[in-house]
Amino acid sequence: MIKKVLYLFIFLSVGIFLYIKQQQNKFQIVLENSSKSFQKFHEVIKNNCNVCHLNYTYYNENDWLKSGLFIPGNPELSELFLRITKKGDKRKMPLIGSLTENEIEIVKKYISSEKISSVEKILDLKTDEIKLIKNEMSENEKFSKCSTLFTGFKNFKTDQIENRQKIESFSKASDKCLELLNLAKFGNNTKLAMEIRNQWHRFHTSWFSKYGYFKNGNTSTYDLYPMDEAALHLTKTLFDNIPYEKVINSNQQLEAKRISKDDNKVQLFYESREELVEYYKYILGDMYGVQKDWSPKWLNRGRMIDIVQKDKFQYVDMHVNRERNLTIFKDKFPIDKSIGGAIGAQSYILANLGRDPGEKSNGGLVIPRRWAKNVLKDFFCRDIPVVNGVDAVKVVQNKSEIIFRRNNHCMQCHVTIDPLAGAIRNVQSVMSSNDEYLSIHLKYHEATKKVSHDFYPDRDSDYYLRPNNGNFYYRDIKGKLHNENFNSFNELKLLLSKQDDYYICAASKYLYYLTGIKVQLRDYSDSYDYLGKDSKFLLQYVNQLGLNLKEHQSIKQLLKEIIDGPVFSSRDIKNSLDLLGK
Amino acid sequence: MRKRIVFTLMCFFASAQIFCETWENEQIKKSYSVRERTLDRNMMYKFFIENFGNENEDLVIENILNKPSLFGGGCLPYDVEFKEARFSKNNNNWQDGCIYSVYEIGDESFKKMSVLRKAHVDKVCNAYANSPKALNHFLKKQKLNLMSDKSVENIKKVIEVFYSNEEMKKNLTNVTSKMGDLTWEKLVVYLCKSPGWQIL
Repeated sequence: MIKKVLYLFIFLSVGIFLYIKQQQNKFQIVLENSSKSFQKFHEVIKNNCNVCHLNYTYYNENDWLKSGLFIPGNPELSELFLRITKKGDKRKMPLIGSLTENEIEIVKKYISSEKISSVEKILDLKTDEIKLIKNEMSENEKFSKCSTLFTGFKNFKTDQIENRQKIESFSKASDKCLELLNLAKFGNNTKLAMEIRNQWHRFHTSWFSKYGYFKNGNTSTYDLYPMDEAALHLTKTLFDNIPYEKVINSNQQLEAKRISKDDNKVQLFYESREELVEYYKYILGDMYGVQKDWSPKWLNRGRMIDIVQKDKFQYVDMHVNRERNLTIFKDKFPIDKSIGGAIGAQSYILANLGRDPGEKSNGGLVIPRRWAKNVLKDFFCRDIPVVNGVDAVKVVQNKSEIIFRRNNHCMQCHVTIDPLAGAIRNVQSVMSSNDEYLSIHLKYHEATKKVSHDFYPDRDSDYYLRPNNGNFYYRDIKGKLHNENFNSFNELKLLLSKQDDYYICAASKYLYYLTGIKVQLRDYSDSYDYLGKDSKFLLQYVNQLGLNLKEHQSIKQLLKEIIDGPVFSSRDIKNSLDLLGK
Repeated sequence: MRKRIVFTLMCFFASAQIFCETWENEQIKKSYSVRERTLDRNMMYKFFIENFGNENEDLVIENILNKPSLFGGGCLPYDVEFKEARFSKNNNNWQDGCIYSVYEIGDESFKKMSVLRKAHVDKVCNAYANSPKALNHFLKKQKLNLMSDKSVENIKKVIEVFYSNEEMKKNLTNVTSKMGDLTWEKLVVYLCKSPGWQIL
């Protein structure tokens, strides 16, 4: 038995040997096409680092550039150079032995070379013309599919519509389905119109992943301001034909108008719902000390008939900053106010804040960086890091007391999210009381201190009192680096709404809802050439849809383009893509 | 012998590393993932109630509407006017309620087909096929009854309730119309249990 296993492994090892040989041959071709200085640099790395870092021997110029191990043109600040010259506070390399002076000079010369900074390329996604193999549905089949998705009724028949002549006059499925959306505009409160609006609102709520606040106990919070305000922006944009940029770049705070048969007397959160109504009295302040009774006005319930700008707010004149060792504040502030747009909705900020109640941003360890991370995830479909290693190396804070600010690998994420979080530096979460049924709210501090352009302070006790400036440091899906400053939250909203990726992400999300095809968005500048034809096709397709959306700004038009497009129309999209990929 | 074991172990780790690298490369080569666009729990609920009537509604609620993890679709908690605790049919717009927690509001729009999902749908299908009242409701909507002729045209009407795909309709009509002992119950349960109709 042992012999058989051994023979099997020997057989495998021959295969592995051949595989490695093949990889080496492939890399040899890449190496031969590289610059002379890189070939020499590669030789030094191969001879000295091969034993532990085998992967380095297969790095091409771009891989090195993205690794963040050196800063092009600046060897003295490059991690690789500091390690081999045994300078700096990081572990010296190689662990045993050292490089000769000549070898160090070769590495230094390569890092200093101006050529390597031009290796970076920006992708042109419009170049290829790849087409899907046609196996298209008929217009009737397409209407059956889109009407199900739009209304929630499988086998939707137009005879459910009172005035059906118009919809039946269209020959194309996309026009018919768009007419369904027009029919469901706010103001029409037929059952069908409400079903259509609800179907889309449900999808828009799925756009965001976080709905939980500080802890599950803040049960009454859900009854004081809508947890789905960010989704309300999307639904209003769709049904009121508002430009898509306004989802983010809006100063409006939205609320839903609802029709109900009864007054809302029962709390939303189901835990002990009945007991709460019958026995519980809400308080403001300290449950063991200074307190007062509170009768908050709860949100309306019932079918949504409109989404409107909120203009009346509830005020409290007492709140606390935390559960234990608390301080009672007696300043008056509105408990249900947002700062405009989907990313400024109070519920969106609170659900994504990632900070405990009472904490004030200090620019270092305590900043709302999780909010920044989720803005990129929800509206740009991107997970951090969104820049290359080398982009981060440039801003590593070598003298910082915060460990992750000194590390180039950590900074690959923090270089983006830390300055971005500056946009909401003035928010602080506070609580109505410290009892079991507390609610949680945002308090906005006014900027009373001077502006600071240091985006990475270790600890600035006035950070939350300074103007909301920051920086948007982001490499888009085509590999272009955006490095732009903003001076206020509104400037950030405008900046984000001008990015191509903001629209490409929306196109990708609507495409997924309608077809089940999820196009992953990341920086493709380096890997695009390795993609299969199917992947290239989808990437070009979603890019084009996004750029069109940026131009026409209409979600309805985007939906029409998707329905008319090859992916939605394909009878078997998986098979068509597989064939294209082969 | 020891050398052989060391060599064997080296081969094992090397092959594992190569497997991982190959898998990673495959991921890099793809820019997308495909998931069948299935009906969500609200769509499924409405489909059954609309076509088979309120008979067995509790079964549909138990097996479909109350299974957000299998069917997806999210919920609209503010639409529900609560009169009673938790999920109760006495609440106005109760169908839009979240089942276990308000956090279901952000659930995925749809979920992939699964064995468990199929088992729950099968249970509902069996109940409907065994209920003459529900079956009559279904057939009446297609202007048929239990005694109607099993002609190709009539069979097609029933198939169209489940499938809109032309090719699928043609193939299913061909297959089912040739079945010797075909009854309306058999046809409905056969179509209802076929998972294809839940995919758009």
